[in-house]
Amino acid sequence: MHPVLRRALVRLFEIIPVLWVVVTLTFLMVRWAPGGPFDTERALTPEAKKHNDAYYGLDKPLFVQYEKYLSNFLHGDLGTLYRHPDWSVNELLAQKAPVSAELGLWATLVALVIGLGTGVIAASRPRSKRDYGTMAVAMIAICLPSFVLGPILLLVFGLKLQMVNVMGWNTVGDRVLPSLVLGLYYAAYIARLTRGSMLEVRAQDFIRTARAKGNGSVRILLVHMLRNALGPIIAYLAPTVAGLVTGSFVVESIFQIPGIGRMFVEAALNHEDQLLLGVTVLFSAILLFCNWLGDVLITALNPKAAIE
Amino acid sequence: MSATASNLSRIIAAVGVCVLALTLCACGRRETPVEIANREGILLVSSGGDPTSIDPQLIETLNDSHISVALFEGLTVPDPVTLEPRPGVATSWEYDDKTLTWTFHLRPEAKWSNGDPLVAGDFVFSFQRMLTPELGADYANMLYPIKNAKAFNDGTLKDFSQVGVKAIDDHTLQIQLEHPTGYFLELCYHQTYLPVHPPTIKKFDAMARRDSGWDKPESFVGNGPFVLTKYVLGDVVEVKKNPLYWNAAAIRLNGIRFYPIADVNAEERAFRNGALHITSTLPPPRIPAYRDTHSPYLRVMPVYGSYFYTINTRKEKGALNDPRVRLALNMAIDRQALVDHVTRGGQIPSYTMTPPSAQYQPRAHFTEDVAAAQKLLAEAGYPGGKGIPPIELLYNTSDAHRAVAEYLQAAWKKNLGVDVHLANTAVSAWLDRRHNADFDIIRAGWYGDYLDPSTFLELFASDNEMEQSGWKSDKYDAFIADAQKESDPAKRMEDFQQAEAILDTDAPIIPLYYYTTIILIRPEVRGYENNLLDQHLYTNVYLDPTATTPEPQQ
Repeated sequence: MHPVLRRALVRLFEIIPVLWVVVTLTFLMVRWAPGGPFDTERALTPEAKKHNDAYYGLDKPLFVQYEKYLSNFLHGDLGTLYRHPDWSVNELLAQKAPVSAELGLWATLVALVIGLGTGVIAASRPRSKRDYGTMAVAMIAICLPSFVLGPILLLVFGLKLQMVNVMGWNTVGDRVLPSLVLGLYYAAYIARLTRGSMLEVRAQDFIRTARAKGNGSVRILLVHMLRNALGPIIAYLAPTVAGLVTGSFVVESIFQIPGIGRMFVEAALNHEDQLLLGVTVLFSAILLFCNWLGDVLITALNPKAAIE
Repeated sequence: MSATASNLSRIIAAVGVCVLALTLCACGRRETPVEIANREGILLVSSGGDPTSIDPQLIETLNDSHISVALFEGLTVPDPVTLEPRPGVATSWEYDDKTLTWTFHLRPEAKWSNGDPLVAGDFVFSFQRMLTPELGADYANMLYPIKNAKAFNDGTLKDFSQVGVKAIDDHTLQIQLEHPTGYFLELCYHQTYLPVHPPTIKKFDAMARRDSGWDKPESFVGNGPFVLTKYVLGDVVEVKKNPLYWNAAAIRLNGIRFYPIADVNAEERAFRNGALHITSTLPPPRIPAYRDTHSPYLRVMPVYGSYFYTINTRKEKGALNDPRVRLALNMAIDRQALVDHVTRGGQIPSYTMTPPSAQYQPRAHFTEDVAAAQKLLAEAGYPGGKGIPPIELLYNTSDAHRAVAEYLQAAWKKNLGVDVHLANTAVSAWLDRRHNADFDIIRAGWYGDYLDPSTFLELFASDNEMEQSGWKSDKYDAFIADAQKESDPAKRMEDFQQAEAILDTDAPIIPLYYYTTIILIRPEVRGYENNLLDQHLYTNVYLDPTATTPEPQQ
């Protein structure tokens, strides 16, 4: 078997036990957290609490509950919500995951376009005003948290200029600010990564050879130097994309986007255990998958890695 | 190299500028959602968070009930200002005080939103579902004034025909009570007494199942002025006018959109962005900005709710077991300063558990008096606070609660020399510690479910497990039990005054203020009246896009 393919398959099978560990640990942690889903401010009558616990199997020993959860999980049933009984976890994930995924993909696009663009600009003339200027802006973008940047942009474009809606996910205009706020931080990181990796090879022989052969500077910049930056960027992007497409609590809350990130944190606060478990598992699966994909891509770009 | 590379970066920069300019032009100054909604007759409301459910028998919070009043109608409906019961599905009623029986006459033209006639048997069915033990309805005990309802709900009685609800014919409903319940007609407009459509419940096997999902727009059937058209968690609940409602001709709104905005700052931004007619609240730090500029949007409504702290009075808590210490803690706080400088939302300082209402003006039983408080503490054996181990003040994490807790901490240290340290946890852990009585002094709050002191004072009866102060008083219990049996309203209120006197001087609680609901509301919204239960019937609400000044309130 081709070493790249073999490595891809081996890494794929490694995902299964990791996922199992995640499910088990999360299950135990949510069950051990203080309080329960039916502890409400208005105390339930003992009868109602008893029946609700029985309905959701919460009165069974922990191991029985775990076994039941795992068996349902393997059949693709992630259970229903306790405090919002109209909804099943599957239903909510199907409704919210695409929204978060879309936002994440737009943010990834923002990160890549702006990040690569400014990285290349900075690397084209190192230690110049242009380089220092773009890198300073990138540093600011890294330091500026989204819960500051988001409200500032909303204040200007939503409240002062009345140009965009400050909540919802309905029109094209609703996509612009959230994608920017979410993507900008990663854009700045990618810009620094791109610049660094490109400058590493700037003085190497193959660049000099390329130039001696009469290649144009744009070609050298984009083909020979940028290629060297791809490895680190892919390695960085894999977990980043996983995080982006599974939703950001902060950005979804600021812009009132009906995505999964907001659900996740609210579930943790309200003891919505089934939802919490479902989202954690989904997040882990996507993260593991993206890492796997990144790994395969890097191996394909540099087959040496497959043997190491 | 540098020449071409510099060209390249110029091209990239130019493209970037073009994209940005295009995006901005595409947006421009837009028509706001409120402007569009005004044109279409749609009310845009923030519901302050996702509804627990649409099913009136499974809902829990005040915010949930704001949606259910649009979709369902009970036997009675509240007067928008006084909250007195007015005809709803029932046109008239009479009471027989010998047999404790109410007879309701239902309007023959009342219909379900699918066209089925609404009959008395539907109410019997709905009450049965509410009380079915296996449904585990959180609020089932609201029906306990009905004869044998408690026995059926806790499973000791299996035969529902023994419960005091009977359909005499399609338009006559008879309800027999367990004991005279002076506020029963008010209960009839509470969400727990709303009817559900029996064929739909049966079709979805939802009699005892919480997660049947019958209340999605595709299958929803209700009897209210509006019907459900969209329901997406975390996004929106949308209702439109129900043409089959018996009084549809009087409804002036074409629809309502409830947005579940849980983040208070996002909610205020949405209002200023023209995306909402009404918010569910206003964050306290933002109140002065609106008040000082005499904003036409700010509205402060006194509501039937109390903000207080519960003291753990159990023996092992030492000093807190002594009523003199508890009263001293109560007397050493300047509540007026607390509401003026800390909470700043027009709240009313409180010295009793029960807020005032038209029928009940609670009497205060202690005054704020630091010298007297110090004396009480000395009499209890703790002069200058010496000998009292540090007390933990526990609240659920929130800036507003922290500010109040810090105020108390400083006041007790300064006035009594008592050391207090603050602790905060997430809501679920806070509730857990309260249920397990694992606290010294814990933050609490209570909104009345109906307009009667019993909704507050029954919390502290010995058989109630809510408050966990560990405090018990036979005399208190006797007054509460007496009030339950009493049918003379004046004597009932006096029972409550007596009970309250014991509660407030024995002091297992520290009342701080009566809640207000502070909202932002656009002047176009008319007919949205203030009332103590924060209940707003959308049957009276309409939009007047030309209105620019706020509606005067009675």
